[in-house]
Amino acid sequence: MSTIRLHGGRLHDPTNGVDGDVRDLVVRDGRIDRLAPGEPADESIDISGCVAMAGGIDLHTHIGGGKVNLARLLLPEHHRGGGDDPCRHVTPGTRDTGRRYVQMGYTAAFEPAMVATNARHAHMEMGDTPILDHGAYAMLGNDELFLQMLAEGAHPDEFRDLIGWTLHATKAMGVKVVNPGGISAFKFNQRRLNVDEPHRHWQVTPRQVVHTLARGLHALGVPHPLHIHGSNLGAAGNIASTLETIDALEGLPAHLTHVQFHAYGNEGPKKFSSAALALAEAVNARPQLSVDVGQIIFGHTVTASGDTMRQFANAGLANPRKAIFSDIECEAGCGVVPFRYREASYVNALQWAIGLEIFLLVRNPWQVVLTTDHPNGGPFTSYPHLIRLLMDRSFREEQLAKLHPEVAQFSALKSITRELTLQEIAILTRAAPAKLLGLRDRGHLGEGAAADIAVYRDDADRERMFTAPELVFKDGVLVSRAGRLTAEPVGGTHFVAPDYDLSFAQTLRRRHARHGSVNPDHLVIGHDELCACGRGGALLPVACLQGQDRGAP
Amino acid sequence: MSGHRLTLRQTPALRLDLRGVLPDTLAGLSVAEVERLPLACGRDLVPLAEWFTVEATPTADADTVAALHLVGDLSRVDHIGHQMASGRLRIDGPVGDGLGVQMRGGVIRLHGSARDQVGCEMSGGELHIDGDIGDFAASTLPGSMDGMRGGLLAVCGCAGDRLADRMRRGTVLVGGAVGDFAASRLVAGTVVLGGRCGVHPAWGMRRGSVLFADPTVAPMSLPGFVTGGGEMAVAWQLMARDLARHTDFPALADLPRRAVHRLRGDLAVDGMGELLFVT
Ligand SMILES: [Zn+2]
Ligand SMILES: [Zn+2]
Repeated sequence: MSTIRLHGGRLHDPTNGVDGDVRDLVVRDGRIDRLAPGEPADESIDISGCVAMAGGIDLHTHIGGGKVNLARLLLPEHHRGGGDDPCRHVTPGTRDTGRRYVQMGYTAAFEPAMVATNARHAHMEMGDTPILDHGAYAMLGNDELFLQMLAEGAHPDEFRDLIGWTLHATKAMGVKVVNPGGISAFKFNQRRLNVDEPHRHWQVTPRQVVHTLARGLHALGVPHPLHIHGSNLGAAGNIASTLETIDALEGLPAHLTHVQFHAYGNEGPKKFSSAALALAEAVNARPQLSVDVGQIIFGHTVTASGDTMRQFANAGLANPRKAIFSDIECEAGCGVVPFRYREASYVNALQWAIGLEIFLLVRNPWQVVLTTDHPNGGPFTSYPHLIRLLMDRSFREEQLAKLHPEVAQFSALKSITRELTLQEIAILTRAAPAKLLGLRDRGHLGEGAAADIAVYRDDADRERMFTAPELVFKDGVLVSRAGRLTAEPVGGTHFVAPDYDLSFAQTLRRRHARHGSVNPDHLVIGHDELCACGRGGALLPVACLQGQDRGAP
Repeated sequence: MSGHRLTLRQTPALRLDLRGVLPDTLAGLSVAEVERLPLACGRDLVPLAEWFTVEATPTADADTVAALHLVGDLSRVDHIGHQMASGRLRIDGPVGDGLGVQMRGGVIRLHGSARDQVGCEMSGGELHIDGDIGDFAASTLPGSMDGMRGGLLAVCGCAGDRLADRMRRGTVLVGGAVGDFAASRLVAGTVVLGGRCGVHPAWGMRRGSVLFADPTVAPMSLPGFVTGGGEMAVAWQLMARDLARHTDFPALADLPRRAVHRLRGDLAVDGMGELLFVT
């Protein structure tokens, strides 16, 4: 049991109320510990002039499952032309994904859109992503079984059990709903679906879908509440649907994802405006809500989403002009559309400003998580740049001035003076995501926590500072030094195992025998299989909150 | 100006990548310098001299064009003339994949056959081949949106499938037969076929011209194509005289004295392209 003592560094550990204090950090056996009085450390590292935080946690990044591979296949030209940087590709391969995250001080990443029938693939792909711990949210709300049960008016307990079984079968961390009911409605030729508009075939509304799923997850005590990709993504005026979706929750907790794409008004001469303030006010008034932003970053990327309906609507904007759309086993869908965000475009410039406005207008940093919805808003490799935009007002205004003149002149962003502190960045990038996912021993530096540590050399240029930390530890192992990898351990898999009525498997078999094409028993991933998918990485079950008082919604 | 002759001593067991070995790149180099150039062989880099015997070939003082001459069984050698911009490249012997990919200028003459992806995304220069070629000639590299964008690809032998897929500009001449989906998704440019073609020629063609120069190939019934439309005697004469210049293709000499039957299509896309059948 060797010990490492990091001394002289300033610690930012918001979970434990440590804000820039100079303290020792002791690692023993992969955990954060302390030395007994008079006990010498086996290794002492001087980190004075540095800032230490827990390893970064990305709770929404598309790194596993079918559509990421489709995105790679769609853009083989990104791999051409030699050069040393494999991340020229906006969706780098698994190995480069893991390495690049770690080089930036991240130690965990979560795939938000895992389709149940693709779950094995998703776990294998994430298992193939080195170093990072990982997990995924299963997609529900557009599959035939759920919609049919909803149309038939099934009892809430049945939904609870369907969700419980799905989490159990796919070894997921939570549930994501994408365009509630809309992916399915698209298959019935509906081209948009508002929150109170009935699905043409099943006659159920997105409001019912959202409420049912949020309630089911709450009943199961899954720590991460429903992960919502709302209706009308990217459409002008969609703030109305976003607020209606929040309303549909009736006070239940939820996480609204890539909200930048859901905070658009339809005012002004171009009928496209920022509704960041309205969104931020709704979040500020509801402590049970959290959001991640999905900030856009100028340049080339590829958008890969389960939202076939909205991706199809945007296919005309593809750059280069190619796209992939797919139905997946009558359960979900996907649309992959390459895209280039341009500073000179009014819409793109406004999207950029809206994202930053949301970051800065949500008052409580514990309610907002830093993401670009990789690769949809931009690749994750742009996080250091994004951090500088949030921490450095003059840099932000310099960038704003380069944009489409109408946005540069009239954006509300101009009048926002807030600059996020290092402590707030530590919340947005590790403490809050860990809390929102129920990871009790991650995202902080308290005694007993996993020794996932990032040590950054303090630098007024925050982009440089966050690009290549001096030291990164994963479970106590030094994995990166000044941007160079020093070890490549296998990451672990986070998942939940909620209690539900096991007899639901019978119901499921009956329904599948009549309507399905797959034996539902084959969908279940066992622990040994999960371990094999994860290349023998640790299995990290996350406790549910059953039996505890979660408070009435 | 002097040039070089590179003679392959034996057929490599692995693929050899000749990217970067171009007439103007080698022009200023001594034999010893050329011998040291790194070549990708399988997963390793090896000096050029490992495979080739290098000789300097003096040319007439007045000749200012850099010249390079490759000799041997180069069928395991890929990417010859990759991104070539100027000079003359002569090859005696069969070559592998990717001959003249993204070529911008100069002249390549191949006395032999080539495998797949000949002249993909080429935008200028001339590429003459007296043997047969494989699939995807004058078309796109995987993932790209545009195929050949200019220049001339002239093949005396036969070509495989997907000839000139997504081609936008330039001229492709093939003396022999071609495979399936010739000139598919053609955006513009001229494709001349001297022999028979496989199924679905000009599938998804937007604009451009495909000429069936062999009078024994009768106009075929193709979904998406309709007969006639417009007066074209003058346009045909201009085109026929231009094509008759290509003396490597004796069959084309007669074109100005022939008439053509014209189909328009593919109506499933823009329908502004034409298929011309010599009668
Ligand atoms: Zn989404
Ligand atoms: Zn996403």
